Amino acid sequence: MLGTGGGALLVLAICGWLLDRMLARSLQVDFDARLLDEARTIATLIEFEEGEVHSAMADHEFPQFQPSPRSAAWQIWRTADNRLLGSSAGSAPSMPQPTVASTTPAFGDQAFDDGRPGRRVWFTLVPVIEPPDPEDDEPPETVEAGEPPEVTLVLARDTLDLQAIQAKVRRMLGLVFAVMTALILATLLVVTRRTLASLRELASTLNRIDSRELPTLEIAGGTTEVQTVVDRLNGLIGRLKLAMQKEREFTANVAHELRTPLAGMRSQIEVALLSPRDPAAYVETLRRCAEANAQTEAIVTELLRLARIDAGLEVARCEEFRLDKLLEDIAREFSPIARTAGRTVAWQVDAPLNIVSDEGKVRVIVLNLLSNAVEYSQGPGPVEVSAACENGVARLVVANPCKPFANGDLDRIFNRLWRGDEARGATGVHAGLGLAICRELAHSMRATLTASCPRPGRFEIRLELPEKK
Amino acid sequence: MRVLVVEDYTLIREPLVQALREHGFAVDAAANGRDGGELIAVNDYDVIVLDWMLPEVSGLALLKDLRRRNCQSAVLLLTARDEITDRVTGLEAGADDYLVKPFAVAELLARVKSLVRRRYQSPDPVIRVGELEVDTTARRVQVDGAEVSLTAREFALLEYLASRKGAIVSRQEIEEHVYDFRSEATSNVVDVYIGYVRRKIERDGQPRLIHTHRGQGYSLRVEP
Repeated sequence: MLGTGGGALLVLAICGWLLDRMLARSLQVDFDARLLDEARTIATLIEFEEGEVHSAMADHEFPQFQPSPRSAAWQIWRTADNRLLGSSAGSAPSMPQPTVASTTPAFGDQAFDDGRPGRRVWFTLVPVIEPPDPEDDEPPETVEAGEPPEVTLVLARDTLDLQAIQAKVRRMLGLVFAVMTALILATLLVVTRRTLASLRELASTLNRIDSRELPTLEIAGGTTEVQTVVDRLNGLIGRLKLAMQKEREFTANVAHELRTPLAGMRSQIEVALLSPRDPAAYVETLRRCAEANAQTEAIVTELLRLARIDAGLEVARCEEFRLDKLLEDIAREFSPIARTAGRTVAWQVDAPLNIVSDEGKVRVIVLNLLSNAVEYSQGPGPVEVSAACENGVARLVVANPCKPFANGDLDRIFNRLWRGDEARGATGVHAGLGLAICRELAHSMRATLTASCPRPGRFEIRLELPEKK
Repeated sequence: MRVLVVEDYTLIREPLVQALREHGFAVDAAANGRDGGELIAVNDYDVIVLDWMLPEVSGLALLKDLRRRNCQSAVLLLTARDEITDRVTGLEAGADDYLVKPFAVAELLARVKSLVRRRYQSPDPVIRVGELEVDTTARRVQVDGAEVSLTAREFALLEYLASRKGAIVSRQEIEEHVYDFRSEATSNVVDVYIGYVRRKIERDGQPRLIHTHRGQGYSLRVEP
């Protein structure tokens, strides 16, 4: 706002200066034009008579050339030898001899002896030849007249009137500038006070905001600038609200996931302590508690892993390895687990599959996908794993039979702590963090992990890794 | 009293069932909302201990459904969600009480007993019928100031009759509220246990407490 006011004042000052210059120039051009007209009048009075150049100025007694405090001055010079042929009274010594002779009028500044500023004009001309007077009875003496010589006429006048007009114009411009400056300052003062009041209100409102609730800011009567700031702050508040809501949901979900095994452990212990038991009952209680403890630990480990990923501490290594060999290892490791769960896994892996990625992270992802596929398979059919390279991309697909997904569930499948209704059967065992971790790990390796239901009853998760070039 | 525990997490469901049984309740259990709904449809439970988040049918959906069907069972909602809005949601859906995980088993037992008393409109945990005193909290029975020793099943039977003192209770109602699916209830088990309890709480020369109403059932009251 201060910049705008300062800018307006600067523009005003420049415009005033330009106007002054234009007016001065215009007045000077006008003055010079009148000076030239006057000089041309005088030029008509320069005659060549009887072999001599003389002026009839004295005959006419022009008042402006009569000695006075404001008198003008003229001079006539013979161009050929720069000899002064005539001048007005008292003007000759102070007027410089023209250095350039031309029929085109030239103008210049002139300082009079008494200190008056002025302007002069000069140009060359050939005096007119005065014809003999027909009424003159006496015949003219025979004089060898010859050709009239070229002369330079110089005419100078003071510019006191011009300067007086200019001074008046400058005073007026100065007055206008002063008034405009006062107006701009007053406007700035009003706008600044209003803006500052809005800013004070905004600061006060911001100060009153409780961290537990973030209301939308409303500032009455604020300027456009303040309203822009308020809009930006409201945008920020909206984003903060969303982030806080997500954090609250996440914390609530984490608490829920942790409370479940903790509640199980507590119930086991308290029931065991309700009355004396035989040793086998206590052993069973301890076994159940260990189970709940392992579930709690697994959830905490997954949460810590997510926190490490979020903090950028899970840096992916870049190493060349054979995906087909890795899948062979995993198949050996996982087959007993699948059998225990009553599922078979069908493998279809091309070889060799040379890829450049982080083998450890790929192993974690594949094991997680397989575990989920076995856990959540619904209906007949094996879990299918296929891997192949196509167009420079190694594509690993883990598919399992499934029930239809509810609307939008497929989009939420990678959300943290999200579990479909079916997954609730595994309370305490799964917390809905596995797929979220897998996706983050895939991203850290510049790989992609996507889920789809290509046809009813079939769920697929696809991991795409860059093939070794 | 008959209680249904609907909880999918085995490590919570099993100790709860055990604790409730050890406190004389007849307990059935279900691991998902659908099975829970089926049990509720065929049995008149005094209290249903219901987990909020369940597979198949959520606890909240099941609660709304049973209230829509005018089921009078008291419902104790179990959940790990402890936001006030969650409690309000649960209570407004028809829950009678709310317990946040992890909870003390003793507190759950106390709340279940409280719900039972509320259901039978006896706020005092000690029910008196003449010289008979049944302390439902301490699980003690006294007759004329003398302690009477009852088995868990006998106490459950007497507690149910006492909670409905003065009213005629049918054999079927007794079976439903005192026996769970685990119990081997034979056709005359109620009559047998009525006999056991009578022998322990009635004294010679004193007015009878348990009355047989032929073709209708039994009642616990003092004849004027």
